[in-house]
Amino acid sequence: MIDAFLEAGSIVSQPETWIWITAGILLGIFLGAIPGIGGALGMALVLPLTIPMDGVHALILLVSIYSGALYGGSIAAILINTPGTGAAAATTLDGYPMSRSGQAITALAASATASAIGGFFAVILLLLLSPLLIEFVLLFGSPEYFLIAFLGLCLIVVVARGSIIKGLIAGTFGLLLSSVGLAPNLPETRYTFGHPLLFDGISFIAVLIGLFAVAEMLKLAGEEGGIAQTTVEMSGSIMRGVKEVLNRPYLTLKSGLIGVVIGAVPGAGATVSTFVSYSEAIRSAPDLKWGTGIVEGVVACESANNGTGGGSLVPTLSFGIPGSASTAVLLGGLIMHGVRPGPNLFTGDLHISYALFLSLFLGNFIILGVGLGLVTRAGVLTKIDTEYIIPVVFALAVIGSFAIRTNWIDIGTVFFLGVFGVFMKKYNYSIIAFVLGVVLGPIAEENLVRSLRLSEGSWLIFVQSIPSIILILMTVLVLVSPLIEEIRN
Amino acid sequence: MIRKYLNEELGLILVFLILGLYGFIDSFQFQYPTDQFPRVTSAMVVILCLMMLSKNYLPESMQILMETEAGMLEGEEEKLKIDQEVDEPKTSQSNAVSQGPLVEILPSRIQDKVWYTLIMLVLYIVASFFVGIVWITPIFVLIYTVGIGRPWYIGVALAILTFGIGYLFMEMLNLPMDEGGSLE
Repeated sequence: MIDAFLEAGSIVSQPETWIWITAGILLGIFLGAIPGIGGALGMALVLPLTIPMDGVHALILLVSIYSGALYGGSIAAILINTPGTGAAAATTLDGYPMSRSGQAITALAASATASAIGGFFAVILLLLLSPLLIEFVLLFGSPEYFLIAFLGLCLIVVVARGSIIKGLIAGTFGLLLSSVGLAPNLPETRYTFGHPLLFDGISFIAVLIGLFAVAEMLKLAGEEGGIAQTTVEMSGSIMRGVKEVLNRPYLTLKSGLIGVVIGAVPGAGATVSTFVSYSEAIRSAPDLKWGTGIVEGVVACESANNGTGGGSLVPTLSFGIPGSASTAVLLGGLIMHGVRPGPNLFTGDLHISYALFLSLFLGNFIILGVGLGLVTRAGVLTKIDTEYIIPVVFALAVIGSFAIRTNWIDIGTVFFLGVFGVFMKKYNYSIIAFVLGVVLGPIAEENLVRSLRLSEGSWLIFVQSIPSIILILMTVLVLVSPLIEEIRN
Repeated sequence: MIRKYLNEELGLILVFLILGLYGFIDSFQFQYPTDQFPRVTSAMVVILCLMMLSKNYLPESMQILMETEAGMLEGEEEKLKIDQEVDEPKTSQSNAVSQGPLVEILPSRIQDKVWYTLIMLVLYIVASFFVGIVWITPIFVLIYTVGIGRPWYIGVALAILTFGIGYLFMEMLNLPMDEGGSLE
């Protein structure tokens, strides 16, 4: 473990790594700050660009974009009451009133400081808990990995928008789509119509680009460009914002912990953690004037927000279960660069996990520096007309999808899923569940086939170990709990 | 409006159902054990779609699972937008603002930016297939930007930017983006 940590340290200390971390954080902040764009879209578009890169650097770039976007979403939330990402939705509750009362700079500075501290805390916690995590992950075999993939899908279905049945339709359809092409471990093609271009299956990167980039841009085309109608008054004090956070260490660290814990739950994400953290802050200090523009509201949300970034890496790296759209893309990046989530990432490839944690840690310094250094100019981001971004994103989507395999089927996939995705969003069929199905499908099937081979075709292998039985019970509980709650109400 | 809503969603469910049925039937041509996963998943898609189509005839306890409710992941920001102040940006449906010269030449029934964007995207992909991505990309970006009424010089700047990105991709990754494609 110490060797892996030192190896990760040597990777992260390279100048090239610092360039990727900085570029990723800046890009993430930019994308996260523009409402309607967000980290997942940026990561999906950057994913094909990382093909020629070294695997570890590619993953560091993606993680940095993710981390930057988590913070960037708070800029528009505070300045124009429109969260750049779902995770920043709770920040509007006190951040925007602070901005309206002439404390925009104070709020932005507090946001940057709380985000950085929440992020630092999350990474330190992960590094300290990683030995326990390794032991836990090693308890899992093929049957358990299949079951946890299905549990993760069910969790996303229950937590995400739309009815459970719609979410399950989306998720299982994603699983079905992932079986196009060559079967795992056997020379048999499925659903290819005999066409060689389909032998390699549907590219999950093309699916990600289609659903996150193209669908989002088609939806954005129906909205007027994101120009703030009113001029944002940039007043307040950077130092005051920093001091307000430093004077509230308990709130900051507690919120960061909430972010880490909820982020580590498969299916949950930063949106959930920020609202839970805000609710907990209200519960513990009910006498404060929540919602009127108090700094505690910004601290509670932003610390949890970036704490989630670290926490969400746990299920993604350990079991290949992403907790959000962004971590679904990150998972895609892992697979694309030949890094399989699971025990390997905590044994032979432990240095990769540590390199990701350390890059998150260092990235928080950049978030702090950028957040405090450019806070007076942050208003510019809210004036960007999103209609200029639409054709550029389409161009990147087509170029990027062609770059995957120089296969025009991928461009077709991007287009059709982009259009399909618009309707899915419109009628609340969870896009994240669909993406999860496509990304997890090969992992789930591989473990299913391996398990059936081990048991010589008997499905009883999935109820022969205690972890398996617990996972099955959790899956059933997750699916019926909304029904039970409804009956109780 | 409600009929339109039902027809569009019905169409979506039918797409899922037809593809699920095809997947299920075709899975019987595959060998064991590669037939298991697609058969189970396609069967689930079919069953779930049939449940959605027949939800009005199912017991109330089952209908609860099909009721739309905004969850915590994708719903909260939408909820918050409803509560936002009046000075929010308006949608492109406003009649007082020109939508752009090329948007306005579309038939009145589809004269909005979404249709314009979709048509331009189709033309972009088709033209790229025949001519080459790196050549068509800047033309698409320029025409799209000018077509929605934005200044031509911004369109030119974006066209140069996207041409540069395409060219870089082509050179760095040795991609055949300067020629048409093939489906063989």
